[in-house]
Amino acid sequence: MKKEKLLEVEQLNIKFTTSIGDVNVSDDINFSLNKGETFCIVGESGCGKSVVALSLTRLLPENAIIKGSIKFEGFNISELEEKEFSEIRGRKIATIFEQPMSCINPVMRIGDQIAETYRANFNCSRKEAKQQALKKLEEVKLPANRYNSYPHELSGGMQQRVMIAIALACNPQLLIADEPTTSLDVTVQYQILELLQELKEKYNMTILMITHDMGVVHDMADRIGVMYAGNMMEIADRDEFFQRPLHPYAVELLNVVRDPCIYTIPGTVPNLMEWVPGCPFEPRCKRSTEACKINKPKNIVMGERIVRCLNVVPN
Amino acid sequence: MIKYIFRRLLYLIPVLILTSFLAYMLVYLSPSSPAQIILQARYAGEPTQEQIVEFNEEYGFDQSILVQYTTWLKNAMQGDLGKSLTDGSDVLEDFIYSFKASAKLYFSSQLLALIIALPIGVYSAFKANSIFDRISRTYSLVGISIPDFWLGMLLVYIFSIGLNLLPSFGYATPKNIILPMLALGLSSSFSLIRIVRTSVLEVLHLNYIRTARSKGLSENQIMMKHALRNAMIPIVTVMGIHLTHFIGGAVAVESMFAWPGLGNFFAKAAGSQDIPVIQGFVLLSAVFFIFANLIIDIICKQLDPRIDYQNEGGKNNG
Repeated sequence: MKKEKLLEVEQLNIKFTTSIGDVNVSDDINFSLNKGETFCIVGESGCGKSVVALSLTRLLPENAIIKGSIKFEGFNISELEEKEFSEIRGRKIATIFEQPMSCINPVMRIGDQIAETYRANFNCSRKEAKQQALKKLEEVKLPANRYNSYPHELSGGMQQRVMIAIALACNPQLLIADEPTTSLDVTVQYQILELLQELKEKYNMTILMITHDMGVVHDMADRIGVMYAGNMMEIADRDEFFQRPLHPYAVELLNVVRDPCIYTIPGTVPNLMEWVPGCPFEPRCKRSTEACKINKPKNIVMGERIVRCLNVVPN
Repeated sequence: MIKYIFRRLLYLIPVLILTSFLAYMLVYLSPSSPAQIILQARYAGEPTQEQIVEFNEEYGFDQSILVQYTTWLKNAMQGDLGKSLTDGSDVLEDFIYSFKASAKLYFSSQLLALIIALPIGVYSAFKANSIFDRISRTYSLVGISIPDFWLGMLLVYIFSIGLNLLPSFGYATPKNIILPMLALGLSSSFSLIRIVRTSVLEVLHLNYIRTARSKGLSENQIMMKHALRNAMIPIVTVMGIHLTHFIGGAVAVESMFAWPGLGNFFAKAAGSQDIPVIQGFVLLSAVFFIFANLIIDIICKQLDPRIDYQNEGGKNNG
């Protein structure tokens, strides 16, 4: 059975223009999300995963130049006018961010912030919006009397629940979760992930999760995309990925997870301002050859899997 | 909140005792005695020793300082701040009169400054580095460099001498306020534009503005509901600090337009060493500033729920 696609990203290129030169943070990225699945983009800090996520709803700063096509429900949304685009943002695609404390307005009651999302996207009375906000508070397991609380009166975990309630106020089809558990402690992380999973099943949501935590990936993902220096190195089903990673970088990443105390990947992430002709992972790669320095690897499609490497790890 | 206001009002007592004591004592640090100065002015020549003794007896200057102070404080608490040495008018009445004049000028000019600076500053921040922003930044920089009394002279030159539209000085008619208000309001607006622009710009880069955008709000809603409310917190604080202009900052403009405000009055009294007037004005100004600061703090608390006056410094949180 062919799976129905909710989001298709093709040839996504993102560039930041800065005073000291251009930075390429996304290099011909292709991926798609099937309806109802959780897709995790994983990678080191600074590899461009958050930028890719934010670009989908045009939340990047003004110096970002985005090229490529983004299809949502089969409809190209990358060329929409700003006004039409705001109909989708918040209503059909919602986002939750890391560091919830800084992402919710400190001087506004949390209930009002949830209600505001609903009112901005649906024509309704204040009373209806409040009803919806109270319902969402209950769904994220916050007591109704927290409606009038201010963000600073809540713990980090509760703030992230508020963030989720704000995002889900309009029952979006796609939820982009940008490192939703990074700033939380481990037990709270688990609760938040469980809550996301529960709400995902309840509303048949699709989740695009950005994370650098392989544990989160293992618990949440249906499919995985590995990013490195603005490149999508490998896309695979979770089970296949953990059993048999194909890209040398993915292999190294899993080695780190299996032995976090001893094993590290030698070298550092490349400077994205410097253009390299070959594979960006080549200087740190154990399987690198002369060809890797000169030729940019192309995507190799193997059924559901996509690998961007000249020397794919054999069986 | 009420408990907090009550506690703040209790602070009033020690602060007032201290200010009144300092105000009273400071005057005695000046090199010449009040009798000398007043009598010199009255008789247009060096006063005789008898005249000085007589004067000191009449005004109670012959008693010890502490006795003088306690008598003065006792009277002050009953609303009697003594009489001016130069013209014999009641100090409290003088204060109320010039306070009213100052308040009219101050609040109208600050309102004008806000009306000018808010839209320009907000729009500048919103379109940072656009042509509008560049022009408004240059405009405010030029404005900051211009002293308010010079601006006042320019206004007089244009509107009184050139166009003969408005009176150049005086207090009697409502028309009189326009030029001093413009001079003070415009010169405050220049720095206020910068403050508004900076605070809005700072807020616009914060994460919760990105969240507001991700919720599908329009740019207008983001500005009004999220950015401006947060940006107002530093703006109100700065305006509170500028409240000192109520007395000191307007001296030049007030005397230029012969506006009978506090600054003008205070400068005159200091010039003629009119001791009861100086003492009374210092004391009453202190009362005014304590109340004004309390009001600013309450406004800030309304704008920003994170401010916790109950546990200062969060000492009960850890």
